[in-house]
Amino acid sequence: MVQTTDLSKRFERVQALDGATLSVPPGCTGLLGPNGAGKSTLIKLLLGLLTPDRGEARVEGFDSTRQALAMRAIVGYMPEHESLPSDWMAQDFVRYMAELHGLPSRVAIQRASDTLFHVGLGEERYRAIGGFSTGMKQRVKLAQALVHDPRVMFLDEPTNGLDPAGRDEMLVLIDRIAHEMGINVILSSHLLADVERVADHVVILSTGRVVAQGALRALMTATPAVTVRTQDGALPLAEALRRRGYTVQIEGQELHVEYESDDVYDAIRDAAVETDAALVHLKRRVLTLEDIYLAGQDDSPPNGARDGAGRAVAAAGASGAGGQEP
Amino acid sequence: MTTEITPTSRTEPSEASRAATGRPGPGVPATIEVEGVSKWYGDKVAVSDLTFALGPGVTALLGPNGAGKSTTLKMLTGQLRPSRGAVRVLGQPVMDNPPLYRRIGLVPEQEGLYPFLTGREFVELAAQLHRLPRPRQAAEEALHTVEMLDAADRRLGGYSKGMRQRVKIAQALVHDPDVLMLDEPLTGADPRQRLALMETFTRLGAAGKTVLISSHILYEVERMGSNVLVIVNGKLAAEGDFHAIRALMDDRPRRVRVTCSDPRAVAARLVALPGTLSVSVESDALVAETAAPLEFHHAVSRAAQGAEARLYGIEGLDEDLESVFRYLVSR
Amino acid sequence: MSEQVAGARIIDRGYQHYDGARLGLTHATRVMTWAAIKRALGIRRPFRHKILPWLLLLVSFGPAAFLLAFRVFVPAALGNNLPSYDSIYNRLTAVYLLFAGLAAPDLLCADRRERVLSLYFAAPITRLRYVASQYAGLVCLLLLMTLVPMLVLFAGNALLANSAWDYLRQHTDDLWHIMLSGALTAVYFSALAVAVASFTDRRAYATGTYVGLLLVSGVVSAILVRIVHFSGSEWLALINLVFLPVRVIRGLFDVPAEPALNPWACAGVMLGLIAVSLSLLVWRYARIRD
Repeated sequence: MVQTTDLSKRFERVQALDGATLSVPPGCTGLLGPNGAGKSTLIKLLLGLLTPDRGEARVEGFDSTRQALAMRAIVGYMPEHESLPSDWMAQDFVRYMAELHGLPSRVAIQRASDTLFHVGLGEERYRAIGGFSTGMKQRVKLAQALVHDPRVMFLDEPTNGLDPAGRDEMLVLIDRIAHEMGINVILSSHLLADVERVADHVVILSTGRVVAQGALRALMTATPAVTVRTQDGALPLAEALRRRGYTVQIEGQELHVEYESDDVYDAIRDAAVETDAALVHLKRRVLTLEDIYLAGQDDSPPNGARDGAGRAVAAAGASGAGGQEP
Repeated sequence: MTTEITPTSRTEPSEASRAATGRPGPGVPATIEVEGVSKWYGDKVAVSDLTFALGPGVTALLGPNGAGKSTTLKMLTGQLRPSRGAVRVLGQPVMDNPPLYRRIGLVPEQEGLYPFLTGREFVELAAQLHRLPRPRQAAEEALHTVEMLDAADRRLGGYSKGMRQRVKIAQALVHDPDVLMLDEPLTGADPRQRLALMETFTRLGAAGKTVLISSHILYEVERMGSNVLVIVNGKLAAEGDFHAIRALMDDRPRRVRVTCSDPRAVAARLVALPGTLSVSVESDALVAETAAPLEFHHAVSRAAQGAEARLYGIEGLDEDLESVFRYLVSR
Repeated sequence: MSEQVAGARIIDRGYQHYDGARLGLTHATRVMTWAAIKRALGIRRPFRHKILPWLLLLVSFGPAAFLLAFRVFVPAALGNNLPSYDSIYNRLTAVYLLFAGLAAPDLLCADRRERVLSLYFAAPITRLRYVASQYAGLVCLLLLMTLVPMLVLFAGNALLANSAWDYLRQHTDDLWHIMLSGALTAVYFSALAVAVASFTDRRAYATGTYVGLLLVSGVVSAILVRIVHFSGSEWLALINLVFLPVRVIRGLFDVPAEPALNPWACAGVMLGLIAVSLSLLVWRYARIRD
């Protein structure tokens, strides 16, 4: 669906992308990476807004540099910045964007209206964008990216500035777009939890290179540990499990039980009955996207600074914070 | 990927950090006290009758967009005069009290940076304004904390949003304030920077500083502390430890998902519990609603054992901060 | 698809894909040009954006309308000295100038400042087509002001003459001169305005700079011509950017201008300025990196 081969781009002293090779299958793909890793450069190269120094970028078979116009007709883009004209009505702007993407006027008007309804802005579509809240503006941006029925959508930090309810709604929309409407989505975000929620695949960049890519569920492998949390009585439960021959580590009210086979689940159940423990949480521990992401970034300096030769300029400082229970 | 990835473990909270819960208590005086504070602009009421007290530790200020969080923060730092009520920080009134500002650090959401200064110059300027004995060194430390040392000698005008944000945090930290107020401090930060900053704020809270963070990203906020202030429509909707707030919500039964090998059989036994309000059965799990969660959690293993079912997972579906927040907003 | 069961159906209102025609660059360019025209006239925008453009539009029709009205209703009041086409162009220069100076920043600056260009350039259009369409839209509107009133006046004169056909045959030259004058004036003021607007993000600065530049050129030129005297120093009058089109127009209509300069040379300078302005415009937009 989206492919790059040895894609490279340099800006003055900074090598923004260095031989990035990736292949994104259909579905929803998360694009992750530290600031300065080349995410925005990659998106701009894919959209044909920049020409690469080396290598090739293809979107749905179109060469981003040589077939840019044909490619952009089937691509939608939701940039990170506000990027909306404040004195246009939402309906007019979305219609205009549809027309710029090749839709005839009648169709554009109808689809603009429909798309604004789909993103939840039906009632407000005849109001000027300048008066919209952040959440509404993000929806307009989404609508203009969607209106011309693209085959691929690039979304850059789509939940920026949204409150919890707005973020939830936006993620539901993105999920629907990728999984119900059959439009491929490439989602660039710093919020790993967002990506974990909607993405099928991830591509992780670091210092201009691809350090990981693959299906999310495949990357989020199970670890040899089962996490158990009790309301109280963690110690007796741990003892009961140890008596059954399992290795247990305790952290407060949380137990980490070594997993060798599914039998451990029965042991935990029986030990809980034996000690009358209230099991509040029980789950096989799985790598989170955060774990995967951090592992790929281990050797990059926290300050993200690189000189022209790509050498790390400062040593890594901060240690990783706690792994999150999925 | 061939290298093995191990999940990183949580660090055990120390005694000191357990004490710094964000709430005042016996032996822990309140650092921020707000009493009957309201703010209106003509006919429009931004904030109405707020009363709360915060102590050392991390507290999250939450609320939907437009609820009055920014107004509240501005009143807490003395930038805005309340229409009614009093705000005291560290025991003193915060309005027109310049000496007090040296003990408060603020990271506002809006930009107010001079594009022609470098990051270092900007933070040093803040240090000098606070009349620190060694401004250069203080600035260096603050910049190090936010991981901006490498880019410190470039002009602010050329910074990305995330870099500007971190420099703002540095200038708020440079004078080692006792009270730190941050409005969406993680904006623009990449995942690793977010973790590092979250760790910094947690550490500051554990060290006895009062850290008030306004943020929309609830799953991050809940990693830094569990004390919350929730503002909805200009009014205080809830304050305190969000787990305790959840426990107070009698009208919202707990939803628990139990993944097991024979959901139907286990469900049958769980339905028998007097506290169980409903159980829905899926192919590999059951989702129960219970008004007596503790009894339920005690009963699950017994029910599974009795049904000779293997218990793969137990998960509370609405215990997290996002769920609590959603319930509070929709009341 | 919809579900149908004996006499009832639920219609799917969900997202519909689009499998129809996707029109090309020409369509997009036409759409952008139209959008520029509508925007400059304040159409689909709050009322205050309509006041000035429509006012200026009306004023540009004023002289022609008045002249014809007088000739029809009160011919005696006019006497024999009818204002000529070139003098009307001269009087209306300020109107054309002002319209271009207000419209060009409106068309170009806001899109840059609000970063809407990121969206436009990610659409299947080229930067060249984008700026060309904004320019074309402005030129169309100025043509409406510089050409149409004169053509109406010409048509009016023809109809009021004893024989319209005779008038037409005798004054065909006038017709061509009107077309050329109108076109040059429209293209010229638009080019200067878009060039200035491409250098700043703020509408007010752009309008101010444009108007200021033109006025200052007039003042400087007047002063220099009076105080500096050397052979060929009368060419300093060309510094007056405002009066340049009228020089060429007067040349076309064979009316002497003050100081007398070869109208071909003036035309050359004018075309040169247009070329430079448009080059600057394209250059500025080629450099934008969002």
